[in-house]
Amino acid sequence: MDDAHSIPVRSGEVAQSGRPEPAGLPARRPSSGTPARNLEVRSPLVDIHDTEAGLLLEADVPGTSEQGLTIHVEHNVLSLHGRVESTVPESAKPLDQEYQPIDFQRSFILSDEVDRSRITAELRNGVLRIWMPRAERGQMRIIQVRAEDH
Amino acid sequence: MSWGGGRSRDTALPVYAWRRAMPAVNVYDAGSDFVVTAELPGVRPDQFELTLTGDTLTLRGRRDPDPSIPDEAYRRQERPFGPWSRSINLPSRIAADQIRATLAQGVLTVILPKAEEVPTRQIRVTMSGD
Repeated sequence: MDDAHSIPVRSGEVAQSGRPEPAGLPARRPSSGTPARNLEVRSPLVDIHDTEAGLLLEADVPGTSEQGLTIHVEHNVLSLHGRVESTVPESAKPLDQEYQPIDFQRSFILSDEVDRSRITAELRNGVLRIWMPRAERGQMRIIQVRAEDH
Repeated sequence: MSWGGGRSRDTALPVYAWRRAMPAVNVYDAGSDFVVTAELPGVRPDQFELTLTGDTLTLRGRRDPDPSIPDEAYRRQERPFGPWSRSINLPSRIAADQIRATLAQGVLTVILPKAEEVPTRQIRVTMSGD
């Protein structure tokens, strides 16, 4: 589908030792908006505000690395999925759990005024920023309606 | 997310977000260690402090919103900001000098080795005087 595309994510994370990818899990599915793992997901908290150039969306996605993040635009829907990798050994027994370290997923409807081809994203310290530039006037499609006289 | 229509900031959301007690903390027993994890997205190591008093681990810090963004520029605001503090009582004694903490991708992981139990020493009693 040529109206669908994935947005590459720049990493702003300070250098740190990379953790290996768990075996058997696909690192990324750029051609699909579906989650990489078929687990429960949670909705990340987001802020959206206007900037001079358009809109900036900021989402808290702690525990998600650049490799585990998929942002997908299809038609007017932007969806994001962040895979959360646990920092705790699997054998560890939970004593008190206030949050479930499960993946993040959320979708947003884009208005026509967002230039979908120029959306960019950056991940830094567990915060995802997605810049959605405003479409320039010249790029807006004007559909002319011609009246046909009968 | 439309451009027109003015401000659509949901006033109910920040309250809900605040009730989610930033940061959410998990405590695990990993055999010889306790592991405490906390979600601190967007928080740098110099923006919080970690202290251990007896068996109580305290995390304290603040997360400030970007001052360059005026309030009226927000169309949606769900993320919690402001000062926060959490205290966690650990179930047993900790080897305080061996605690390790790392912050990666907005998640703090604190490894607290359990203090070795002081071994019980048997005291032999000998008769005297006979």
